[in-house]
Amino acid sequence: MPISVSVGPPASRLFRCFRLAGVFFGAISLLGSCSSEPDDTKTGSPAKGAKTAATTPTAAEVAPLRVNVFLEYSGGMKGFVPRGGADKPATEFQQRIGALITETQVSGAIAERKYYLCENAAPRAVPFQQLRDVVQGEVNQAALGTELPQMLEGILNMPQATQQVSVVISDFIYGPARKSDFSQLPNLIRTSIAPVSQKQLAVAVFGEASRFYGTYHPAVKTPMTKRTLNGEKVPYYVWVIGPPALVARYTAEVFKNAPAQQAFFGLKTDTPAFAPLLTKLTDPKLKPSGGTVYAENNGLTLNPSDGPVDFSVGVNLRELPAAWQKPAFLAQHMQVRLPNGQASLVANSVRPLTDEEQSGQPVLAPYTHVMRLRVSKLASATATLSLALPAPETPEWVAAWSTTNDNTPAPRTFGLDQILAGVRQSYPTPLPPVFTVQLPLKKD
Amino acid sequence: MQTFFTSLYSALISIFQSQRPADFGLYKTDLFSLVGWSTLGVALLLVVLFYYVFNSALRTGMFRTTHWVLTLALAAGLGTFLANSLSKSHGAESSSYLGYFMVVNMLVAALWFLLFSVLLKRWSTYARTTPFVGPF
Repeated sequence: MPISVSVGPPASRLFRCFRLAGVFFGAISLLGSCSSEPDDTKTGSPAKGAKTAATTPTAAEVAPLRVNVFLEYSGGMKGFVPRGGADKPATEFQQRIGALITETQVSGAIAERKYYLCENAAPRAVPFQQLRDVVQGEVNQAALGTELPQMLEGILNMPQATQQVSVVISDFIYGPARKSDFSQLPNLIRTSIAPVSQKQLAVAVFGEASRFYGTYHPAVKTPMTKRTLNGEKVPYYVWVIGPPALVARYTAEVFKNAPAQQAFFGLKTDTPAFAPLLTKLTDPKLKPSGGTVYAENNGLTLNPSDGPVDFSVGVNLRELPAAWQKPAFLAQHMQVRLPNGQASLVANSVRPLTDEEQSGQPVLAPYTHVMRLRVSKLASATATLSLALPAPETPEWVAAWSTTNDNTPAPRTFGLDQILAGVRQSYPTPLPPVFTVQLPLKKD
Repeated sequence: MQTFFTSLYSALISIFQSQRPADFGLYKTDLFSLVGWSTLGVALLLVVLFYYVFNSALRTGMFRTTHWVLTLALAAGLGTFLANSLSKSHGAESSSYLGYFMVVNMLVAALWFLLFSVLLKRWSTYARTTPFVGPF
């Protein structure tokens, strides 16, 4: 009973004070909303994207891989493809090229493939089985062959050759009919691959020495115009020519089992997946150290004023040639730039991620490699850090595999350095970087 | 208001720890304002419950300062709990920064509770002088 008596007047009071309170908090929230709205547009929404910062096109978006394989089949190549048998092991050429054309034929990475024999200036389309027959030595007669520049020119003049990947398999021995042509070797090569200059195609060169059974035709005709070899090793080459990103994909995904001698010109990958790794890491070595650093607005906010800030970045280098994915190579070549500041790659920090790490820490899954970056100075309020892989110049093995006299068979090719100089001259100096990724920085 | 909460919390936490954690972006964009608003709401709710439900609408006799202090302690505890659970559920990592955030939010919840008490107590039927008389 006492309760029911007192309900009357307090209820109206209660209502009144709620009304007052409502006015009061309405005013507070109005004040609040005034200041919060411009702020939301500044920091609120873009920061959501910080987790997906600098992602790349997925596999579905990239251009389909169309491949044309050209095998020079002249008298000079016949010795690489002797007719084998159970008692005769296949030559290195037969093993390597047999595997390469098979992978090209069956690989799911390739949308379309065609095969050609280069017997004269115009390549002749052949079915896969016929090309394989040639490689295993089942075909007897070989054509006279064509001169190297004409062969390359014919290949690059194929319709759509500049949008596709051309794989050229040849001994690359240059034996011109007119001896004066020797003096212009780099220029002749450069002219013959003019589309490489014009469209900035990439050229990947793979070299291997293979046992050779048959007639060897050297470029230098004295003292012997030809020799019969019985298992001596002479070189042959595989050139992969095409749009840079497609050449990178073909070499990384199809020509996985490539010989050790490799040279790349104008190779560029699609921008790889790249992001700073700050949170959700279980490995303490990957966590940031030093001063303040955190992700914000698709970039990083950090403060190196008390000491250098170290943090890990993940990058997907799946499309790089196998030799370039090695930590030692990357540590030596990767370049970190930070205008208005100071940044570097921490020594011995580049390493590939293991499968366990990728499955155990989901933030690492999109990346193949991690490395640590150190920002020790940041002078301006904002800056852009860039991480690039500059293209290496012509590797040293090229000089070792070149000769001015190939009359005595050896794993050396006449004028290989000049031939590749012609390729190198198709690109600017310095070579364009293989890839560059950027990371906006803000000072805290 | 987001700026207000961000500056309030980062200033208070920096008393304990000046270095910001790797997931500070999350605090800045989501957690400070989310936890800030929730704490404000919880403090207000407890003040309304204390003054207008238990000491106006109902006559429970819980108007003493002891009751008020217990409610304040509840607000402070909920502040700590909210800072922890909301941060964790939004992906913040366990860190010393999160710990200090919890401590700071405990104080902030108590402060909100005190502020709302002072502002709203005069319209309460039975507790208008709890915990002290005035100032209005």
